[in-house]
Amino acid sequence: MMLLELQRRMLGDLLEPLEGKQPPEARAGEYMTDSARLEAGERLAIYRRSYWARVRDAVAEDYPALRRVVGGPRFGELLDAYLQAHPSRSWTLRNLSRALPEWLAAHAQFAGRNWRAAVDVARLEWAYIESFDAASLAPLDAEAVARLGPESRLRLQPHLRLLALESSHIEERVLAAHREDLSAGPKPGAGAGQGRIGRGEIRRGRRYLAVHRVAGVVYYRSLDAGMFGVLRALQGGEMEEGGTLVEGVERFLQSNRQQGGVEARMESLRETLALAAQLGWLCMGESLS
Amino acid sequence: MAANRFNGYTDYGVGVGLRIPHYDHIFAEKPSVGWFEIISENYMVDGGQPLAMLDRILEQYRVVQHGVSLYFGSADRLNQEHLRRLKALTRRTKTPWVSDHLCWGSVDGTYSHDLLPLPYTWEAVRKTAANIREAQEFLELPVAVENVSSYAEFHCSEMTEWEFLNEVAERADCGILLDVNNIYVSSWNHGFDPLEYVNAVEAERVAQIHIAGHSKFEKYRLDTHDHPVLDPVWKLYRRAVERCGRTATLLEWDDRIPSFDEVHNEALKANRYLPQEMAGVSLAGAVSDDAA
Repeated sequence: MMLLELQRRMLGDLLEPLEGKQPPEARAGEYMTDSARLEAGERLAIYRRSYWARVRDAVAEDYPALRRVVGGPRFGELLDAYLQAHPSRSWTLRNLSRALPEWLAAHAQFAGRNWRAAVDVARLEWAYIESFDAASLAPLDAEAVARLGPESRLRLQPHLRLLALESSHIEERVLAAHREDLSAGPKPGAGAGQGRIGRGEIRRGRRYLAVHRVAGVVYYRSLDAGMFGVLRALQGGEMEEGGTLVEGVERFLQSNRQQGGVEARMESLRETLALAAQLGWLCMGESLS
Repeated sequence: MAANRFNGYTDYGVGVGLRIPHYDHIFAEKPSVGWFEIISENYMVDGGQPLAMLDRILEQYRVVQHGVSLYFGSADRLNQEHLRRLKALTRRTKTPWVSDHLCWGSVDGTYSHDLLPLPYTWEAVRKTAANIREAQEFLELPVAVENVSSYAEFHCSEMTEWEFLNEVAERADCGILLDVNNIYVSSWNHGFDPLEYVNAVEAERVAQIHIAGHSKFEKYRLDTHDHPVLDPVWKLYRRAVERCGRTATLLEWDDRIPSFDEVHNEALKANRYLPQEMAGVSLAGAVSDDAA
C-alpha cells in the first residue's frame, strides 16, 4: 500500500463517528497488523478514541457557556455533528471551533428552544478566543488623533471584535461560565454541572458589543447603535490594510442614511472616534509586524 | 560528543517543559532551570498573553522549541503557513534547534492532531526525509526528529522502526530527539527489545533526549506524560547517555501536572546518569539501578 493511500484510509477510519453503524475496526486488518496482545481493530480503536476525545475536548473548551445554554447531553450531540461537518483543516487546534457559530446558525436542531441565544453565545465565545491572541498595534495617542486628516490611513485594533446580538445581557453569563470552568480545573467541561443557563434568563433584544483586550485580558463593552455603526464602517472591509478616514466616514454615512440627519450622524462619529481613541482602538493603517 | 551540529553545539543539561500552571511560580520564584522546552504551536499566534508570557520567560531563560504538528511523514507537502509562523517564532526565541515528530497527522489538508505512526517503507523514508530537508532549509536551523509512541504497525512495513529512523535522519541529514519513554512504550506494544533500539540509533545524531511517564493498561502501554519516569525508562536513558554522552535532556509532564518543584525534581534525576559538566570524567554507568 502506498503512503498516500494508507494515510487516506487511516484518517478516514479515525474520522468515522464512534457510534457509527459500521465501525472501521472490523476492516483494520486490511492494512494494520495484529500484535501479540491486540488485534488490528483494537489498535485502530486506540487511535480513534483518542482522536474523538481530543477534538471534542478542544471544541468544548472553547464554548463553556454554549454548553450551559444547550445542556450537557445535547451539547455532546452538537459537538459530534459539528466535528463531522467540520473536521480540522488547520495545523492548529486553536482554529477547530472557528466555524461553529455559523454552523449552529444553520442547524437549529442542535440547540433546542434556545437556538437564537445559543448562536449569540457561540459568536461571543469565539470573539473572545480571537481577541485573546490577536495582534495588537500601537494605539494613536491624543496628539496623533488631533493631527488626523481626511487622508489619514486608519485601522482599528486587530484584537477588537464587533458583535450585533439578538439576545441581551448574555455577556455576564458567558463570563460566569468561563470563570466557573477556570476555577473547576483544566479539563474542558470540569465546571459543566454548574450554572445551567435557562431559557428564562435570556431576553430577546438588540445588543451591540465590542470585545477587546486590555493588558492581556479580554473585556466586553456595550456600544449604542450609533457607535456600533461608526466602528463597523471604520472596520469595513479594510481590516488588513487600513483605509483612509474619509473612506470610513463615507461608509458610515452611506450605511446609516435612514438614521437621523447628517448633523446627528456626524456627532455620533465624533463621539465614537473620541471613545475609540480613549480606549486605544485607533491605530495607523500599518501592516502587522 | 553530545554538543553537536544538530543542537547548535550547545550543552544545555536538564530542562523542563514550560506549562501554563507553572507560570506564577516561575515568575515569582525564578527557579534555576537549565532551559525550558516550549510547544511551538502554543506560541505561533499574533499576540496577547501567550507571547507576553513567553517574552517574560525569554528575559531569564533559554528556550528550545518543540513542535507537534509539522507532520514530516505526511504525504502532503509541509504546510507553508505553519513553516512561516514557526520561523518567525524561532527568531523570537533564538532556539538553537527545532524538533518535531517522526510521524504523520494530516492528509489532503485534513488534520488529526495526533502523532500517527508511519509505515516503515522506503517510500516513506524518501518522503519524510525530503520534508525534513525542506523544513531545515527554510528555518535555517538544525531540525531534530523524535521517535513517537505507537500502538499500530502496518503490513507494508519493510524495516524496523530504528532502521527507519536512522535512514530518515541520514537522508535528511538531521538530528534525532531520542525519546526513551516512547521507545519503551512502543517496545511493549509491539514486542521488540527496547535496548536493541537504543543501541542501534546513530548516537552522533542525537541532539536531545526526552524522558516521561506513561500509563499501564492490561493489553498496552499508553504515552500519557502524567506520571514520574518509570524504572525501565531510566534504564534506557542510562544506556542512551552511555552511548550519546552528555545530551540535553527534557522531562515531559503534560497532564495531571503537579507543582513546578515536583516536576523539576523529577527532571533533575537525570543528572544521576548524565556525565557531569565540569568533572571531565564520564559518570555515566556509575549509578546503580536502585538510584532510579
